[in-house]
Amino acid sequence: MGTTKTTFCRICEPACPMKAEIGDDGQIKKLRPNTDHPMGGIPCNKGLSFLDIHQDPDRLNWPMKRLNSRHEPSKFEPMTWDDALPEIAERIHALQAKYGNNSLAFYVGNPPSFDVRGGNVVYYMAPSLGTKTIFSAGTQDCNNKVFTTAAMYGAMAFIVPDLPKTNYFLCIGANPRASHWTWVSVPQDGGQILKDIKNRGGKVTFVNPRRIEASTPETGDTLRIKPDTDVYFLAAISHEIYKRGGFNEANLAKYGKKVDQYKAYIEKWPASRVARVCGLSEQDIITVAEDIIAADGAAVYMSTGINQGRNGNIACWLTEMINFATGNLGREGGTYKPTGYHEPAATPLFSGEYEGTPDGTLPVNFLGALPAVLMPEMIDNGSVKGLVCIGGNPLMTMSGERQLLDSYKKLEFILSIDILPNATSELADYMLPATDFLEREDTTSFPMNTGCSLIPMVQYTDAMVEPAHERKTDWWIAASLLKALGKPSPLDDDDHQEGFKLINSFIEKFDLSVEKLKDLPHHTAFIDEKPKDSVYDRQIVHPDKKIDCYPDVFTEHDLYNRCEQIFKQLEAEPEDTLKIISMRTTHMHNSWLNNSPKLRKGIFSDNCLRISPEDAQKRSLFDGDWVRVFTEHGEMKCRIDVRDDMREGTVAMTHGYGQNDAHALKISSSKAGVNMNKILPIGSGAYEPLSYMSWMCGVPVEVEKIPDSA
Amino acid sequence: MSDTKPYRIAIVGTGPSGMYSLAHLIEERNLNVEVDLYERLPTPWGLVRSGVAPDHPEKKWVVDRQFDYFFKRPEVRFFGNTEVGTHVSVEELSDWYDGVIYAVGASSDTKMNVPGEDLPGCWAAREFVSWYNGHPDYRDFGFDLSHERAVIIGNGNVALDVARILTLPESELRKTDIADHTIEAVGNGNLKEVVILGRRGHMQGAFNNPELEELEHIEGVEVLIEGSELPPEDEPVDENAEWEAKRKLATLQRLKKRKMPEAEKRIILHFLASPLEVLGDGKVEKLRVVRNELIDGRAVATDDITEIDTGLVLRAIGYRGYPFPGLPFDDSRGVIANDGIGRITDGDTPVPGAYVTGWIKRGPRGIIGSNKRCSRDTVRCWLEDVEAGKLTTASKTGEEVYAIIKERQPELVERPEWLKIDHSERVAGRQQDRPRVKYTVVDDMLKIAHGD
Repeated sequence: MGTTKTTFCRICEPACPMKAEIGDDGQIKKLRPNTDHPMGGIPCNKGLSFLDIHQDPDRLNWPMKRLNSRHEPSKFEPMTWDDALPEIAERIHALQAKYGNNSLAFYVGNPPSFDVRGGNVVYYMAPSLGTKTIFSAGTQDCNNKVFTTAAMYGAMAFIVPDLPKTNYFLCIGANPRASHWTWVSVPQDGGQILKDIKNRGGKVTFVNPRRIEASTPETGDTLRIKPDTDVYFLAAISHEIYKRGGFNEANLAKYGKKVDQYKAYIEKWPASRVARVCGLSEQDIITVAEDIIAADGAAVYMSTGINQGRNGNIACWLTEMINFATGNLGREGGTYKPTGYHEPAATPLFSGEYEGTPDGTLPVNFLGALPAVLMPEMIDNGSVKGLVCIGGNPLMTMSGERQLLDSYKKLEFILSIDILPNATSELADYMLPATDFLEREDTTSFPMNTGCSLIPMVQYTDAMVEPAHERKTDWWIAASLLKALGKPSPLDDDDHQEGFKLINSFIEKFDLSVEKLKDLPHHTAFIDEKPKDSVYDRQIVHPDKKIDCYPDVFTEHDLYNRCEQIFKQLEAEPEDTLKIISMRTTHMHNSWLNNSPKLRKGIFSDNCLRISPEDAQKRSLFDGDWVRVFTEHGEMKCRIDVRDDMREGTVAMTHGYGQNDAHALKISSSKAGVNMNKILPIGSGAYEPLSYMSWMCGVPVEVEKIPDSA
Repeated sequence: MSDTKPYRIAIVGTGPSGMYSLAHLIEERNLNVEVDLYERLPTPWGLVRSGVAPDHPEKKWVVDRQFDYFFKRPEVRFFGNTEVGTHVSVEELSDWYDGVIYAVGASSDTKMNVPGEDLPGCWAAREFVSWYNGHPDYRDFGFDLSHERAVIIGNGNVALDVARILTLPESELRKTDIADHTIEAVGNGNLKEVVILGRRGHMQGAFNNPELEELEHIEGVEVLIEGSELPPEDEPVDENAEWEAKRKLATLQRLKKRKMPEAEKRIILHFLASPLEVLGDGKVEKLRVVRNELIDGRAVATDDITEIDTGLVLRAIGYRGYPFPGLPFDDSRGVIANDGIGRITDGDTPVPGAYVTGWIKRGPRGIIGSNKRCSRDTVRCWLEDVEAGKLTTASKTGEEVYAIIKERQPELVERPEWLKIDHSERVAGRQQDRPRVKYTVVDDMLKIAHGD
């Protein structure tokens, strides 16, 4: 008969509750929605398809050791954990002894953020080993938001839109239908939460270079903006709101500092100045400003599409400032700070400096991650000699795949800890087999660590199955490796509670523990909301308890001026410049799902360049034609998918494809598709100061037809 | 199975069921295959090209977003303009390949079996559809659109497609990839009214909701409901009715209430009526119709008989499979005889290596997507038979087969040639703001295919 167990998805923020049907053989037969759960609804295609990943015959099952040169297609042989850990530790010691601590680089991917035990330990491996050479998925994702909110509030802040109550929602650079929200956990209700805004007489406006899937007659229209110009759009909205007296001056005076400098800044950006560069009409921009003023509760939200542009810090700052200056921060229907495991605590913006990058000495922000786009050069100039990848595939994820591939081959040591032998692992000396989320005990992590869930809750899940073969949790692997390295390890603590000690200490204040969660319905406890206006008290941790409305750190690092200079470049740019943006689909999540047969069928067997009918016509291109897409940094060849959702002048591609060299992944390598990271800029100038975000969206490209390869 | 030499499969027909079979073969993990696609026409995609209504371009997305990704795989070859039975025999295919999947569709239709059915002016809707979609075999069918009224027998989706095409403003037709000869004929014709006869009542209409609702949006076309009395809107609906039927009723009520005095054309949904006889002197002039009553859900003829003046009668009461030379046919079902899963059978015995899918396997029912599952079952049959060692090995290599085919059909249309035709049609379409302008003459296609 089998049994049904309750669990939740750990691909992205909503942590969708699911049920796993377990057969008599102890294996998972099916994943289903858990619609009874208050956070429930219908998990997306990706979550429900995760069984494909769990059962993937290409999974890593044993520690593996490379037998041949990195320049040849890999040959690995299995080894025991008892042999692997000391051997790897010795290699790391030798490398650091020879070249210095910083010669060992760490790359941490996204999955540890969704693993409550692993996440806690992997992030302190690098500091334990005394290396400051840290790269992360964060510089391709959202580190600008983390940095900017810390600069403004004194502590990083996940300030979320009050979607159930808002009457005007401005959603910039995000496609909730495909991405299922980032930086905010929203129950997966098939988009009902957006439809309800319209149903109650409110309005939703999307801003994106393409008419995204979330934008429907039931939700709202998309203003199809030119890529990477959102920051000017935000500045102009701020300007037009201010000019119309839309600021809550009392609120600004009470909780803000340097308000005059902020106002002086936005003075410079009337809608009339930015409209052409943004590719919108002046009236489009003014209408948004007027809608924000008129709404009884408005929320402005920006996400990945803007983070990956060149002005993510300024854009984030302007977004937060619109919400604050209009009095929408901390009010019902505006934006607020949900309850998390812990309250915001003061964070110094910088943890130190890093000497000897290709751009000289760089300040290291509190996130620790260096500019990913400098990595190839840091290897080529000999400052980086070894790489530890945890839950990541930087060869695919970071810009400059071709350059990275050349550089990685020069490294003396590469370790990959992952569930799959991915394209980066293909180059590794050692691969260590991790567990997928169905094979490990866990609790809600990221959405609650940072407090970004519309329904604050903590859920526990059992391992649905025992890990197969020699797969181990990230927590155990990291802790064991630290122990083998002779560093302090969680395993030294007799009361390590299998890694749950920290989370138990977090939730103790709610009178909860992992043990108690196990007895609750759905293994879930709901945590009381605090009043919306408590955001001012809880989130502002600057000593003066004021929001910094014009962070000096942006002046010191030339961000305001840089933003102005980029605007001038855009003004001077030829009208027919074609730019590439990154696009989320319902079928791919970074490179995680690449080897799933189910998610790689038909058009998804390839990675097409999406192009507007106008741009296709200009180049005499038709659906399915092959093109060469190139920049000064590289080229790629792919098919095109002509769709009228695209704004003219914009092409889009999903990332996560192009693993032709990941020979151990049968689907990924045989249906490789291409990786747009091949053509993205690297090196100096290809990242934003302070956040170190890579420039991945709105990059000018050329597209030309090539003969059909078929 | 991946380490052995590839299995060689032939698929006959490149409509949806053939293409979904190809998709399942390609997607099968650890299976190494080479597939040859045999197509009688120089153009692939079967009814997606020649059946789907031209004003429904979204129903053809399946080509660019699915089929084309399998069609262009390196292990796939396209043998267009190649007819099984003419250029290659069924026996040869069985011998040459490790498996043959017949996906030839239903190329005939159900007759009304009434007197006068063979008069000029009385056609199958299937023929009319093929004509307006530019199928080369039907381009010279002379449909006479000079009369003011056409009558369609049957009220399924095909009937509604045809009614729409007959009444859409010319400006709308010009946005589509409909055959140019149809635009011309409709423009020169005098049609003002299309009557759609349904045997049973308004709650038993064979149309689907989206197709019915579409009738509300044709510019300048009024839709009248006759023959069946709709209940008043405030009357509680039958609680037992399916939600689909309730939605249809609501649409019909909206249509009935709508007043369009300016309308130039009209579609009449005439329920509870059956054709008795097609009348005319050398061509269709009238249709004799009997009113039906609904008794226990069945249509029962009354003695109330009327005559409708018309010059065009189109029967849309179902497609039907046509016997395929060299393969056993189940005449009662109008399909190639099969085991109900996918194996072709002769009596109770499976014909080794011969499989069938799509309408010619299960009968002409279902939409494009229905073929996905149907073809999966067929491909599984083949896989099971391979595993069970029931099949003989292909006698010829890919190169050998190619040499024979090329010799027998020098005007073979392969993938690059089809892409030239496709490109040429799309270029012409772009100039007129249409998805494509179709070639409707095989020789014209071949000129493009084999030209420079």
